[in-house]
Amino acid sequence: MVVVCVSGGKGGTGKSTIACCLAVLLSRMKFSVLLVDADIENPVDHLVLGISRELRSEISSFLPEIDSSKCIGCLKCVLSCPEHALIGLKGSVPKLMEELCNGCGVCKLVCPRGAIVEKQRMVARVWVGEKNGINYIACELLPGVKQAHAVTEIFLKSIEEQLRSYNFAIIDTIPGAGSSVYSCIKRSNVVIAVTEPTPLGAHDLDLLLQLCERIDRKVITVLNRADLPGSGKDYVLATVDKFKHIVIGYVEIPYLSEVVKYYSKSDVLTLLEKLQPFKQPLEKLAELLIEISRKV
Amino acid sequence: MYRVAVVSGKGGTGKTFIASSLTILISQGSSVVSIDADVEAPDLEIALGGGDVIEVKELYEGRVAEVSYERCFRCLKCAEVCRFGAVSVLEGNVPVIDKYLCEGCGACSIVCPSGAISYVPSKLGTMKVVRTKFGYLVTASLDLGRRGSGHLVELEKSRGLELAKESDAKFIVLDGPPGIGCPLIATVVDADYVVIVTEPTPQALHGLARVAEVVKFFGKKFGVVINKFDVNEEYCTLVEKWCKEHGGSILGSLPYDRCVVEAYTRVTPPLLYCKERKSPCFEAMVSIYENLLRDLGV
Repeated sequence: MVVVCVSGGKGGTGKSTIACCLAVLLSRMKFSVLLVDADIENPVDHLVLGISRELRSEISSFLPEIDSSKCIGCLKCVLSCPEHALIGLKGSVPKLMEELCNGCGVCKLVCPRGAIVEKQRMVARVWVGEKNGINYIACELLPGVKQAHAVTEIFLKSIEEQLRSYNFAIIDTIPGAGSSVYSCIKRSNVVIAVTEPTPLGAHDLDLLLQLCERIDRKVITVLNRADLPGSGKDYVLATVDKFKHIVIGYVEIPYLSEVVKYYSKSDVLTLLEKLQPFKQPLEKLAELLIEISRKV
Repeated sequence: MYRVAVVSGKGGTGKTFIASSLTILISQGSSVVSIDADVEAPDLEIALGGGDVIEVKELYEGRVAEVSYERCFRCLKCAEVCRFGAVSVLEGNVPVIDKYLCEGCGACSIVCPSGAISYVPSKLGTMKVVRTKFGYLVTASLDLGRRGSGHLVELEKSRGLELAKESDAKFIVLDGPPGIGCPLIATVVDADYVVIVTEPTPQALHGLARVAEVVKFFGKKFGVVINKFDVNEEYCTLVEKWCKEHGGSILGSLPYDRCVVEAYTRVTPPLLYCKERKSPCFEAMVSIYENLLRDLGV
């Protein structure tokens, strides 16, 4: 029972491809695998693996509705709203600016007349699917919704038990090193940090590793497209060295133009079949995870 | 003054390459201010080749709740009322506040019967102004693991606007975050034009469709750049078809060229390196810039 978080800081380094390939390799070794797509702003793992997903549930958040027959216009809600989503004049019924509301519920708590009614607004959808023994679950934020961080936390909290009931749960995260990534990392036994050999990749990896260090998580660094020309790799190696007390593994994946070709056609399975130099480092990564699972 | 935001639904499509290139091209003829709105992974400073840091500001904008355990009755009303999952309960009914998840909304302190909850200021991030060869750059880094990236982008925009007025800039270029969340909304909400960067892959088209929905929701005009168009030319037709159906103009396409990565490893602005190496990306980028001016009616 290991929860693995595939993250990396910078976008487009190969998080989803690697998360999906690991799910395929581990499930072929007869382990039970749950693939969690927590890149709620652009979840694409179902496209990468060709999973036909179905809607399982919806995530809603609180939205206040003011009952004008009960409201006395005291403005307690207006003054206490941390997002300034309620506006109004003394003696009148306040108006809600829906797009500013973060759903905290403070207005309902401070209203002396119980004039605030709890309404729900849908903020995200949860999808499920299955393919070749891989169980898949994903959360997709609705466009226009601001509370991505809160949604990631609510989603992962709702599947906490599920995460612990597989040999491996692989969480594919959003880029960056904000609160959404934090929600994924804190539930993981180990973090796979995927990066690329550029100063940009190294810079964003540094931010992610600082976050892992703060909350005491061990990391396996994956340098994707490792043999691209130039000195970019040195930047990444310097970052890895700086965090050597938390980095427990390092794997390089070479740059192969065929990878881009298959990836652009969403054909990861053929990629694993045909390209040994691509498959080998991923197998090594899977072995590292199996080793970790023996210790957990 | 025109505000141009460069965004994408999927990460790693080339936003920073395009934002830095537009900044450089604009700076040849007029004054420009650039803003790195990707506060969780800010790289525009590297792409512009760095410069003199003329201002650094630590921002303490938010607050997080703190429990005084001498006062706490262990009634757990705080855990019940928190809608962000920020209060977890340890053995012995001890409430613990996760500072990374706390929104500082105040709900817990309102229901606490013993006044055990107070607030401490929390760090939002660090904002810098850099004088680059291509005008002022405002860049910021979110404090790790924190919320509030949208708010940080708002603060960057205010500083950027001041600098733009001071330097009589004709353009503000924003290098946006990937995705469709709060910082993306803050990036596009008052832009005059949104450049959406995509690639000819199903993953990137998925991202394009989602981000375009947000952009259209705010009534913004947008144009699409297809980066690395030659990795799957077949799929480009699908992207073009999508643009036609959804009212986005195609600003242009860029070929896949290792020059861009090489430039980054040399900490040289990729556009200048492409020009030096006579990469087809250079001409393509100039044409994207011209099409952008055409769409803006400049």
